[in-house]
Amino acid sequence: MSEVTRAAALAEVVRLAAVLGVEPAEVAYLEDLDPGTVRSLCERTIDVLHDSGAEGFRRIATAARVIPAPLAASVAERALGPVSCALIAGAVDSGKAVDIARRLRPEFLAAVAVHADPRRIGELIGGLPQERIVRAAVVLVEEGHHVTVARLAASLHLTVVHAVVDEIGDPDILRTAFFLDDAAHLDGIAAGLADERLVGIVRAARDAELWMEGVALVARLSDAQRGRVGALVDVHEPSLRGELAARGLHL
Amino acid sequence: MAGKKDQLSALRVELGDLPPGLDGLTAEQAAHLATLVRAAKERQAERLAEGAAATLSVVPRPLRGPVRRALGV
Repeated sequence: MSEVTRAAALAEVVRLAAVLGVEPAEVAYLEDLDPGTVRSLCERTIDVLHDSGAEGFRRIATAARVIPAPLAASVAERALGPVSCALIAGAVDSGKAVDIARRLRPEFLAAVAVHADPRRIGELIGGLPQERIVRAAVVLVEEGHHVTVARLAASLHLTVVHAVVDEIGDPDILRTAFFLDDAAHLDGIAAGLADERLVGIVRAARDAELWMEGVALVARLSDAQRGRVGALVDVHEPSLRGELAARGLHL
Repeated sequence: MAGKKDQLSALRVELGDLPPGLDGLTAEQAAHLATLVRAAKERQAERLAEGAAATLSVVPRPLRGPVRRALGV
């Protein structure tokens, strides 16, 4: 198994462990499986948990409908907790869900995001105020939940993604980009970055010793963006071209 | 001890259709996963019940009736 594949498998194992409520070490044997298999296993587990708790989620979602959003937000934080909220979110009317979610503390919103299924809350995420998303994303990155940020980024407009990028450091951009599924989305993000920022992110592969993440990022860019990286590297960090080539990436 | 296929069946009981690629699991690992899934379901049910009860303690008295009816408690 290559280093990239093992890193991807580990990330999926960490996510599945969170869904199961156990430490990743307890299911470390899953790291030997294909990352896609572990991801499918995680999604299947989430589906099963949703199905088994559907009646309970429906009742709580109904209760959320009969109380004002500020009170529902208080109930979410004080009574339900982030794990239950993550599972219930998809059952609440989207407009009410957004109205509740925008009142949650960023730290709580981030904790919900860790346990939430991106497939079920895309509309909710997209409806949140940008400032709220950015603050929650910063919390997630600070706590090391790069996989979560990457998965949720797919539901965000590029303007919001760039607002998040503006608030986090270059090494964390590399760590998060590693888990972005959609290469076209990744390319769109890169295209919207200023030259100085793009160079800085690539430079972080060396400075933060995140070569795997850096190579993976550049390798997935379009020819146009990869060419742009090459031109910028030649001007600002000429030695990087050779260092990337030594690791299999030719700009 | 039950064979691997039986143990994957135990996981199938908890998860239904399994994604491809799990044949690499040993019988013990598959059984362990099935146990974890079952425990996660049980914890979820407990959490929901506790959450419903805690909700009533957070909601002001005038709204407890409608909330109680919505929760079915």
